[in-house]
Amino acid sequence: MKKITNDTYQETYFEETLDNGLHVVLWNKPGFEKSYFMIATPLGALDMEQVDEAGKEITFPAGIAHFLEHKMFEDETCDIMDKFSKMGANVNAFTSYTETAYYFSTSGDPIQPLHLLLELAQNLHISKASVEKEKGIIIQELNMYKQMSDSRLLMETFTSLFVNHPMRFDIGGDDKSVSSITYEQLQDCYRLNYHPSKMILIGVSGHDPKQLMKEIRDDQSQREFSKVAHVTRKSYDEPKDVARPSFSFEMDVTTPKLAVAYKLEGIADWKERLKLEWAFRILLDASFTSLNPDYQQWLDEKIINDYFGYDADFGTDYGFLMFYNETDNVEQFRSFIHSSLKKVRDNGIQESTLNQLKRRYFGQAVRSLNNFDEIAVTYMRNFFNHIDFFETMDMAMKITLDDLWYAMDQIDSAREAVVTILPKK
Amino acid sequence: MNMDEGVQIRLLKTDKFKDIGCSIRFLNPLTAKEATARSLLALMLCDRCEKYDTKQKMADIADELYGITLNAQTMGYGKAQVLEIRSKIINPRYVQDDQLLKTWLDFLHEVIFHPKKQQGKLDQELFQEAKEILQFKMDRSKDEPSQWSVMRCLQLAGEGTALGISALGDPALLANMQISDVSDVYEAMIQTAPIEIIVCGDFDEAQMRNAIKSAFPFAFRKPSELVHYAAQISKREGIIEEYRDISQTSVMMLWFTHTEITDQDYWKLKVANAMLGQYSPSLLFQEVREKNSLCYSIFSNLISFDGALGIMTGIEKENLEKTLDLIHIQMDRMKNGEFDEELLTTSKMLLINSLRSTKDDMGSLFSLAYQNALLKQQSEIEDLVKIIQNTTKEDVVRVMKKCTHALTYVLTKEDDHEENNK
Repeated sequence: MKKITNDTYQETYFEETLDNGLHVVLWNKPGFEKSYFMIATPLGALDMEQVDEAGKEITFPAGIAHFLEHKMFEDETCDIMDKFSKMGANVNAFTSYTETAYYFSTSGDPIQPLHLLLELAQNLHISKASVEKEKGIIIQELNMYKQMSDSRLLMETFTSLFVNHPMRFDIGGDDKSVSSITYEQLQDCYRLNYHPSKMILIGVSGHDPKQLMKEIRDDQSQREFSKVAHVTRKSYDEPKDVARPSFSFEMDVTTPKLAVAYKLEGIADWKERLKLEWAFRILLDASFTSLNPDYQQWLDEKIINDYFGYDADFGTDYGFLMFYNETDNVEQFRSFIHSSLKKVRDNGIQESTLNQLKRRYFGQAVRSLNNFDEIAVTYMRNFFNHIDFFETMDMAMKITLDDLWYAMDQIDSAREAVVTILPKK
Repeated sequence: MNMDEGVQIRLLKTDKFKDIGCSIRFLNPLTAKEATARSLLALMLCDRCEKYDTKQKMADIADELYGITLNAQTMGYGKAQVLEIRSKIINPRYVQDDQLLKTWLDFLHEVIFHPKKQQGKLDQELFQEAKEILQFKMDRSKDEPSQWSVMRCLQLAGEGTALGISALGDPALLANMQISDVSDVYEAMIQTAPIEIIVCGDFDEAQMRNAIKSAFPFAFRKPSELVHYAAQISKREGIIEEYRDISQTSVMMLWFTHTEITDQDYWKLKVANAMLGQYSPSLLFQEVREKNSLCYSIFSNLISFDGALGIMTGIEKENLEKTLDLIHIQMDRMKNGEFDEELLTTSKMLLINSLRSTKDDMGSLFSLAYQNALLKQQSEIEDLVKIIQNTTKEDVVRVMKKCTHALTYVLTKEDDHEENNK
């Protein structure tokens, strides 16, 4: 068990890769009553097509990772959620575009629920009948998100940006794809993606890490896993153009909402990707918030309101930048984005602003370490991207003005998609 | 220790957290007009002040302090509306800056005592901007059907009473709000509202107490009065359906518990609520979601300072009758004691687990300390754990039998024939 201590953030964790390949991280939080454990696999909504070592492609319907997440909680002999509850632990799970994670928290002894978490993630007990029954619940979940205007705007923006890439689908799929998922497909998807050698277990706890690691080692040494083919997520070639340059639809909203988004290139190298993500964040925080002296004027002239925001994200084979707002005047907002981006490109960012933001991010990074689930999720994402946890946090401090110029150059205004939600008449 | 009876400082010293947080809470009577004015005030206070008179200057000082957080929000507590100003700062041990906390408290002093003014009154431009933002926030709450259903149900059942007033304010009153209305609530807040200043984190207690006293020299004022109650009569009864063009039907069912938060039965009611719909083993989750696949999300929640209990879910319209029947059946099962002893044991354990987790979260520590202040009691977590542990099946049945159905609110899509008849 390797001990890692960071003096800047005053944090310690322990890590070990077990014989079966499961990577275990135990983050030590002395004095806390609560424990939080998460086990995750890099199977997400983007894994609709996977490729094995022989080059064979395996295809799944949209939403399969999320469907599998639901079914992992099934057991023919007992209700797993109920079992966690009886141990005084709250269990839950989530599926993102790139991973599925199962986690519990408890303020009691974490040992029993920890064994149960491993049991949950390392066994699949489903029947054809139970697969059919789950479809109703999942479709209700999709409907719930569908009538939330914010998540709908995001979903439709991705659909507008991407032609081939699975980012164009909702994480949960749609009614049709969910209805088409079969018992056999779930079994295949599980077998290929839930082997311990693909997964990580992270615990954030005040309990003795040596004792916890021993429990985990003992647990894992008693479980058997058949050898599994190594599969990878298929990479997609996206055309430069967006799928839908302009798209609008009606919803029961009071004020029109819109997104102006740009398709960007994905970046395979994780360090470069991380650097670019930070550069975009700095660029956007410096140019589209109150740090910009024009910000007040934009509000006064009603070009933006308090809903205005932005986001940029990159994967190995996709990237996007989006701005969103509430306004009746779509064209005014669009030309505001164009002129603002041009201004940033012409004038750049002041070094003093860059340093001010670095000071802000340092404070935020330290404070983020209060949060158990944030530690676990960040560690898990970094692990799957082969990035060191503290290196990620320190990366912001190393961004230069040149990195910001490089980020600006990535935006191609021709690759734009505008999505508008209009109030129903 | 008291600055005086109406202004209290509570220091929650712990070395668990990476930051130090300060929550300043002003207690005010809840009326629709003043609630609206106070929501505007909350937006104005955090936006700019006399010394830092632009958003940019506010951002600059926040970044100088390593990205502090600053929020102002309004919350309903029974017959009262609380305006809270909350800020968090990195613990100085990470940056070796011995002036950091002083600069922070000086900044909070400016925010609270010196809002941006023009000719002695709160700034007109800032007021207009806050009014527009609040209007957007109110409109946006309509856009989320589940959130809207909860608000409408409380509004209809509690019309003319504290239950019916949203802590965000009243959209109907917003347009006619004058700057003098906001100035009045600001002056009342500074001069007469009972105040709790809660500071949490790792610091020297004596130094922090002195620093707080010096940064927040509030005038003498009367202590708070009790603000909790138990709602008795619903202004509307049965089922009210309203229509919007939405894909999923939202349901909010309201019961009056007839148990006040200071009642000996209150924590027994918490156990009953946990069994009914707080956690996954609960009757509602098991029967409505797991066995009948009618919904993705269903839960019950206590509105503790008003003596009410709400059940929220989202379903397909054609399943409405079946779902409402099933929910009523679960309520009846609770009242008749038709549940396993195991559900009682498990729910107690989960409730205790969640209560103990309070100690690990600064926001929860603020809430618990403030609840104790409002109720003029000093409940320690382990005292509450004992009450939960001693709750029996008979206790649960007794508190549930006191509950009366107040109103069921349904937000749904109009049937085609209803649309045609219009």
